Amino acid sequence: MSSDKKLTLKRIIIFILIAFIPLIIIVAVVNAFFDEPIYVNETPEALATSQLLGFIGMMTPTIANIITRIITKEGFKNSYLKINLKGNIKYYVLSVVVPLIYVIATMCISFMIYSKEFTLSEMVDFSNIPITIGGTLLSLSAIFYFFIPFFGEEFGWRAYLTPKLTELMPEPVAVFVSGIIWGLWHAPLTCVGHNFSVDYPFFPFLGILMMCIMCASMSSFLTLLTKRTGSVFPAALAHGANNQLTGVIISFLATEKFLERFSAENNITVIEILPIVIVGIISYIILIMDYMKKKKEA
Amino acid sequence: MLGLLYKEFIISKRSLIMSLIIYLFSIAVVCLTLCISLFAANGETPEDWAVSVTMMSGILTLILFGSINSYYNNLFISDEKRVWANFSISLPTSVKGQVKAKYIYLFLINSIALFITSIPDAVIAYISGEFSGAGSLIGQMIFMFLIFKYSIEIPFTLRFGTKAGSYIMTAGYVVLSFGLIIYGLFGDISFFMENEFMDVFVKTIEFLTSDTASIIGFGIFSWVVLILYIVSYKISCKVYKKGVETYEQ
Repeated sequence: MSSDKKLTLKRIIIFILIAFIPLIIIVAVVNAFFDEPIYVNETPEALATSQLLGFIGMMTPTIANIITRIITKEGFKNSYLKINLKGNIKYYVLSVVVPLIYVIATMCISFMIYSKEFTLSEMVDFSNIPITIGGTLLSLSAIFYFFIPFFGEEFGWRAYLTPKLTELMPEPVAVFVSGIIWGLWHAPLTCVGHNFSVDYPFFPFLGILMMCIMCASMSSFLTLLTKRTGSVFPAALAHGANNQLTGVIISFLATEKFLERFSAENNITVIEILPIVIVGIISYIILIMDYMKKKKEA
Repeated sequence: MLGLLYKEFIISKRSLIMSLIIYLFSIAVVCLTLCISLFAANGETPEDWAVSVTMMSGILTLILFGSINSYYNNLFISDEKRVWANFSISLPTSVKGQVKAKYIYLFLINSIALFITSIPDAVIAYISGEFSGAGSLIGQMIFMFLIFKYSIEIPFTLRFGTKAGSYIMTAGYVVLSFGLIIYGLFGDISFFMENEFMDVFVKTIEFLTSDTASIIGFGIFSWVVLILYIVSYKISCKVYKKGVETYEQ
């Protein structure tokens, strides 16, 4: 292995250690204070802690990026911090529209799954359509106001880890590996009920596996945005749109009866993550085509 | 552009540190007050405890945004020298970079402030046993209001300088205050007369978070404000050069 590759590997290892270890320690310590996993505990203290834990956790990849650059004297070149709006507006629009589409598609799939049990009017409260539009508009604008936590993750994964992995392996493989690492990074949170709660078979291993699939899919879409714009901000917006919109539209639109049934069910439904996987596969194909084109030109 | 943004942070470093100290001190005072209240009531929470906790979260958020944004003028005063301003617009980043740095800086520090508001919410929840999340919610509203205010204020400041700009804005506030006084004299203010201050606060929060018209209005306003901020940036770019000519040597 050449000395350049050795240095890159060293940087990746340092980055991963700094991104993973604090989160594992914080989650373990915080969870020890509560009787049940923190994300299923509904006491005010647990609610406040889980919110704070999420925000602090999301900043660890950024901290890892900065510290790794300082420790290994890398400097801040290629940090993807430029906004690069000129000529890239379509990617900025896509970063918000694509998550909106797949969140709506996911919701439609959920309705379809329960269609044997409920009629459409039992599932959807049509009088709530105006408030759903208002709530969605608010959630979408919130990704601009409240972009810091999403930027916190993307500045680590897309602006540092993926480019570094690309130096060691072919780009499509790097995107997949960084997605898996990103999924595994969520494991401590998945173990305390984040995303899928705790009531599902093979807890928490199935949850961790699902998270890896989702993150690998998202990773290709987010990397595509980052690569095409040369900026980390569209990826941060897309990540924000994904997090802000998931659950929001359905909570406004669905009837109380359906929501009760929906939330009583465990949240691991493979079909529900289909839209995000499809987006991931399409992005992956585009990335591979870009890679092949570049290789041919070289 | 990143360099100019870095410059804004360096110039505002002391002010930002000062704001954080004020904020941390305020959190400590609120926590102490909550602890003393609980101690005095032998650990039992008073009747309007949840409302008080919500109020405290809201006040902390106001303090944070208030202290951070009180240094608004400093951001512009430091650039109001004709030699420097002419030099800065002759750099490759030109007028656009100079103006963009200010807009991004203001947006960024308020985003960071909004992010920070979730911390005292959690601390208060631990002490009081009530999780209102009011800090973040009120923070979002203040954020939107501030971005709206800056959209109007910055072009004036850049065109006429901080002094004249603040006179114009003050004139605007006076007109607004007159409008409110006239409404107070002749409009329907029964809601404020019939309810105590605490009730007005709680009912307003309830209205903003659960009323259909309010959520739709809020949703639309949040986008209008964002678009207005971009339009304001474009206007500022156009008027900045004229503004530079009025600066002192």
